[in-house]
Amino acid sequence: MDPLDSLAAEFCSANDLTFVGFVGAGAFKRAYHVTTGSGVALALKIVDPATSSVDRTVREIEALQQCRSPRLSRYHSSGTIPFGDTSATYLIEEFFTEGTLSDMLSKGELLCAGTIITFARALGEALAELSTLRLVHRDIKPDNIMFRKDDPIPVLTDFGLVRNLGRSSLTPSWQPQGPGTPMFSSPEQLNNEKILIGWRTDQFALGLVLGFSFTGRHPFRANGMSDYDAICAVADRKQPSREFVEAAKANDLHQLITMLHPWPAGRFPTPEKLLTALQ
Amino acid sequence: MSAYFQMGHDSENLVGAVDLEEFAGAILSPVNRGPQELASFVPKARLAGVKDIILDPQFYFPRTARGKLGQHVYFPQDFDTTDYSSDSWWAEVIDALVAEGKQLVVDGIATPVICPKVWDDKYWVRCISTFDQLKAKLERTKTRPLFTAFVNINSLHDPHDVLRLASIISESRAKDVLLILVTEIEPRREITDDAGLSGFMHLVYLLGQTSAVTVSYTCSDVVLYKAAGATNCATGKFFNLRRFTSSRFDDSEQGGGQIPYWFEPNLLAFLREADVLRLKRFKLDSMFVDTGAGSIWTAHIEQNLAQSPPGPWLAESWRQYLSSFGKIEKRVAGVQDTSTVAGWLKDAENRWKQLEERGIIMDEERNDGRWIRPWRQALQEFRLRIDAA
Repeated sequence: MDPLDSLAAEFCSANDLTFVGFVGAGAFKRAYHVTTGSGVALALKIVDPATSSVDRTVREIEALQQCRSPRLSRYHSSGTIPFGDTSATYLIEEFFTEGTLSDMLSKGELLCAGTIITFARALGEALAELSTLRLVHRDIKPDNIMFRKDDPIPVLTDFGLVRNLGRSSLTPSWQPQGPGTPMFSSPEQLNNEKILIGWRTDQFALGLVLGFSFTGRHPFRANGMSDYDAICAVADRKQPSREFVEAAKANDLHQLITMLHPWPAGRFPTPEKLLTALQ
Repeated sequence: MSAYFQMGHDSENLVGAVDLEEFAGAILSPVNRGPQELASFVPKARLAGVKDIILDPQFYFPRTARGKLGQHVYFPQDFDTTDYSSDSWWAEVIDALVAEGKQLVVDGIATPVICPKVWDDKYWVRCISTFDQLKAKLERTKTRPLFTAFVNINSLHDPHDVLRLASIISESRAKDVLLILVTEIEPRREITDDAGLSGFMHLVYLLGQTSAVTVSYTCSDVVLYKAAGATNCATGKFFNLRRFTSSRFDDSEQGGGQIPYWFEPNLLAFLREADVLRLKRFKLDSMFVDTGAGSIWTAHIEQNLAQSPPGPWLAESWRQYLSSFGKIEKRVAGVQDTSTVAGWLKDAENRWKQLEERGIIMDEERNDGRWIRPWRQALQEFRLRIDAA
C-alpha cells in the first residue's frame, strides 16, 4: 500500500469524510473517492511531496479557486496534512461519477460530428473563462475531460500543469520541451517556446482531443505513421494529415483545422471567435 | 478607419488645412517638439477636428536621434547607462510618460520601445512587459495604451517568421497596435522588397484579427497596408522624402528638403515640377488623376504651373500629397478591396510603360515606376496567403 493511501484514510477519519477508495494516480498526486456525511461524493487528491513542486501545487489551487464556469471542475477545499517529517498538500474537488472521455473512447466509441461540436462548445466555454483569468491549462487530454452524473456535457479537470500568465514561469527556458502530455501538446509546448504559450495553446490541444475523438487517431498521424511521428510533425509545425483534413471537411468540422494551425496567430484569435465559429 | 498626421518638423499648420478632413488622428513627435509646444498644439488640433491624438514617446534611436526628447520629463537622465531589462526602470519611465500624456490630454499612449540590435524573444518579452506596465498604469483612465511593434523588413521574408511574430505580439492582448516597418532604403526610394512587403501585409492582417492596427510612417505604400486590413495609416509632410530608417530623424531640423513634389496617384509617384510640365507638354493627361475627383490642392498647383514663371508651391505640394493620401486611405477599406488595389497597381504600371515607350524620362534617376511590380507581387502573395488560411 502506498503511504499516501494510509494518509488519505486517516485524513478522512479526522474530517468526517468516508473513505470510499483509491481512484487513480498521476505523476505528482494520488486521487481518492470520498463522501461527506450528507453523501456528497468528492475527490480527495494528495500531492506527493517527494515528487511535486510546491509552487506548481499552489498555482493549481489558486487556479481552481478562481474558476466559476460550470465546465470546469469545482473546488471544495485544500490544505496540508502532517506527513512524517514533512507535510503533504491535499486538494478536494468534485467527484466525477461518470468517468473520463478516455473511458468513453476506450470502449471503441468514436464521437459523431454533432457530439464533437457540442463538446467543443462546452470546452470552448471553459477555455474562455481560463483565458479571462489569464490561465493556460496545458494538459487538455481525454483523461482530464470528465462527466457528471446525468449530464452528458463534459467538464475540464486537473489543473496540475496550469500556467498563470500573470506570474513568472516555473519552467526553465533550457528545457527542450515544456510541460504537457506530448500526444496532446501544441508545437509551442513541445518546443518549450514560452513566449508563445497562451489560451491558443489550449485551443490547439482541444483541437487534438476532438480530432482524436472523431477519427480515433492523432490528427497529424497520416497513414503509415506512428503516434511518435505525429508528435514530431506537430513539433515541426507540419499541417494535420491529409486524411484528417478530408474527414473534417467532409463532416463540416472545418473549425478543427483552424484550431490545429501550427502557429497561434493562425488559430481562432479569441475564445469568442472560436465559440462563434462553433455555432 | 482614418488617416493620421505623423507630426514632425513644422507640421502643425497642416492640421486642419482645407481638404485634409480625412485626417482624424495625429501622432505627436516629441523628438521634434518639447512639452510646451505639444501642450499648445493639442487643443488647436482638437479645434481643427482631430479626434484621436497619440503620444508616441519615440525612444527608437535615442543615441543618435534625441532631438527634443531630453526636454520631456519621461526621457530618463540615465538613458545611456541604464539596464534596459529592468522592470523598475521602465516603470519609472512609464509613470512619467503617463503623467505627460495626462497633462497633454491625449487619447492614446504608445509603449516606449528601442530599436534593438537583435529582434529576439527577450526583446519581445520586454516589449510585452512594458505594454503590460503601461496598460496597468492607464487602467481606469480614458487614455488607451498602444503596443508599439517595431518590425524589421528583413525579418519578414519567411511566412513562418511572420506567423511567429504575429503570435508573439497578439499574445500581448493589445487592442491597439502601433506598427512601424523599419527599412534601410535611401531617402525618396520606394520599398521594393516584395517578400518583405508581403510579409508585412500578412502581419498587418494577422494583428488586425484582434487589434486596431495603426501603421506609422507610411507613404504611397498606404495602398498595400490598407488592403491588408490596417485600421489607420499615418504619414507626414516629409514622407515624400524620408521613410523610417535609422537615419530618419538626423536632418529633421532642416525640414527634410525644400523641393516641391507633385504626388500623382495614377503613377503612385512623386514628380518634380519639370516632370509635371513635361507630361503636360506631351499632353499625357491620362497620367494624372482627374482634378475633379482629386484634391483642390492639385487644382491650385495646376493653375500655378500654368503661369509663366510659376510661383513657389512647396506649401501646396505638402497639402496636395496629404490630401491625396487621405483620399486613398479612405477608399481602401480592407482585404475586400485587394482586387481594386491590384487594378490600380496594374494601371499605374501600364502608365509607366507608356511613358517608357514614349521615351519620357523623369528628372530623378530611378523615378520610373520600378517599385510597382514588387508591390503587385507583394499584393498577390498576400492574397494567396490569406486565401490559403
